[in-house]
Amino acid sequence: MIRKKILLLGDFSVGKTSLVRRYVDGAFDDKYLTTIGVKISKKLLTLNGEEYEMLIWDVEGSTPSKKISLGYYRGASGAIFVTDVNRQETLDSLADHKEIFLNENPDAAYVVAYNKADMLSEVAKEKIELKDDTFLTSAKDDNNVEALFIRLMEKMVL
Amino acid sequence: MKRVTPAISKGIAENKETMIDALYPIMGGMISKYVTQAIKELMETINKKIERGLSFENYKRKAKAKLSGVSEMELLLEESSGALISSLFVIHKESSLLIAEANLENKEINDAHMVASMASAIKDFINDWVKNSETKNEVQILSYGNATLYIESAGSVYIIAFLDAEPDYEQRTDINEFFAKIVKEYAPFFQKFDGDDSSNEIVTLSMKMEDYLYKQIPLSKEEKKNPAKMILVLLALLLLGYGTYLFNGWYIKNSLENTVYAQTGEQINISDEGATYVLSGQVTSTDVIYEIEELMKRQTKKTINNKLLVPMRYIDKRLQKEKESSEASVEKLESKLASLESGFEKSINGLQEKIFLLTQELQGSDKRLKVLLKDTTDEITVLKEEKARLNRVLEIKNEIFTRLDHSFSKSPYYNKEEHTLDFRKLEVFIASEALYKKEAIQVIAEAFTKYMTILVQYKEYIRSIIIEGHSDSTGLEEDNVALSHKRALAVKYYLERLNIVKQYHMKPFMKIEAYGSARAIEVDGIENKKASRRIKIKFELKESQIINNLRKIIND
Repeated sequence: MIRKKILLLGDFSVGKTSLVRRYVDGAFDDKYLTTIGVKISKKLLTLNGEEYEMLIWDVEGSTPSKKISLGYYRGASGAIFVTDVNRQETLDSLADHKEIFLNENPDAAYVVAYNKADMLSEVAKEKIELKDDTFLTSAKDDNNVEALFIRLMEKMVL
Repeated sequence: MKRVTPAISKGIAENKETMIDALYPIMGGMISKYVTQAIKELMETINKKIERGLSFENYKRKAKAKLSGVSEMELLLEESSGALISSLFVIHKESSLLIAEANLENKEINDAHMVASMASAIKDFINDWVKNSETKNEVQILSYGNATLYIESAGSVYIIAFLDAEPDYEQRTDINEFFAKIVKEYAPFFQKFDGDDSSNEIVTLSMKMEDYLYKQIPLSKEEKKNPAKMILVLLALLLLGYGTYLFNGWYIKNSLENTVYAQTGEQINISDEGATYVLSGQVTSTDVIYEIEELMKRQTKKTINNKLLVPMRYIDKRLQKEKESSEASVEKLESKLASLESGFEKSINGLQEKIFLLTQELQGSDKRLKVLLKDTTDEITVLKEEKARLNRVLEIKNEIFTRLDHSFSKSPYYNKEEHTLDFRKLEVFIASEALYKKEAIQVIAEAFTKYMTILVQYKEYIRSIIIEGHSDSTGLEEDNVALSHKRALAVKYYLERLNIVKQYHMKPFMKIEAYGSARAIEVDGIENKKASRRIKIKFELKESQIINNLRKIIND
């Protein structure tokens, strides 16, 4: 079996932990997230008949007073950048998160989640321009969560 | 000391982890900071033990030191070691993915891959904090309750040992040496590791790690040996072995004497002469001599030198006893023989009586059997006769039918299927009247005479001539039955007076049957009343009588 380390990155309260909670098979307690700034979960999935395991590092959103250890970023094969589709500032900081991550892992794959889509009206959803590998997700409605993770795994291994 | 050239410096800077992997096996155990730290911790442990002062353990250690000649410090060193490593992880440093793991039995770690990642995250977190605090050391020990994680890093991998207590200097050195060996052997594999756990290297690495874990168990329990003590123990064991050998010989000899006494009641002496047991002493009979020898052969593989003797007084005594015993036996045999003769005589008498009774019974049975046989034979004869008669009657019947069919072939009043005279086409009676029409009765008489001309020739086989009376269905059926009876009777009276009946005395054979409208003639579901008012004449042979006789014989 092939295992891959992936990161969940994004600002505070964009719903990273909810996305993970909706998707994974096993996880450490949330208290690790608040104490050391990361929580590890795992997910087994099958692509083209091959089994893969994701070790998902749910990294706490960084603030000026609390920087995240770069050690967490190292050796990741992929990342999911999560934003809150209802909060513009989380969309604006997406580029910073990508830069830090790709500095450490230049060859890594990534996808983007516009999360909390359940709070958007249908009209608002239509206005959002979705580029490649960008998903409108809702942990609450379980919308596009699995597709998001599967797409990332495809990009990493296929 | 030679200076490192700038090119080499640059190479080292760019491939830092590869260089560390290459150098770690050589320098890992020599790094002074570890040695300093280890000695410091060791001294702390020893001091703590000395500080325990007047404890029982302290006195026990002092006594042990005096007796064994080993210094108290050495004993303390010995006591300070021995934390058990229950699991080993080798983790890819960059991705924090678990490369290989090994566990002691029942000490497996659930979700090892998640634990490896989490341990890496914690290590990174602490290392970051340590660097921020401007301390140069890396985290090496993580403790929680009784669980301790000992972490040792090389270039591209690090090892985590899970222990039940903090490892001492000796144990850390041992882990580091083992780690250095695997880093040296697997460095290229570690550097190329991409998360795929299906390679052979992981299997062999896991096996080596498991071997390492299981080697610690006997070592932790094994006592450190003192050579002088070992020699003393060896001598003691030799003496004990020799003593056991001597005791064993005495014990076997004694055991054999007891066995002989228990099984024969004879007390003899057995002496062990190497490959031979010598049996000596006096026994009470020559039989016992051989019995003991056989017994000894079954008990031992050594050869037997039998020197057992029987004194003459035992032989005389035994002969006298055997003589007395023989005389008593002869008397008993004579008495037994007389008893047997008497019993035999009684048995013969009983048998003769039984034979007599059986003969009588057989004679009686024979008589009954003969009677039964005769009866059966008679019955079979009767059956045969009846069967012959029946066959004859059946032949006659066919003959009559053939002749009648031929004789009445053009008659409108003959029913060829039933071989009867049926006058439905002749208007014999007026409705509700029993009296026949004159012209009609003459037609009946003529046909009847012709019919009887054939039947009288078979008179002995004829049982009856039946005249059936029928009516139409007008009125009550009981009236119709009475009317048909009268019609049949009227016709019978007329026919009885015919010459053919008188000449052949056929009157006793003539009978009537009244049917009312039970067999009225219907055409397309509508009754033909004229036809229904009719007379029918038929005959019966004696075949049914013969068949009844046959049935009766067979049932009886």
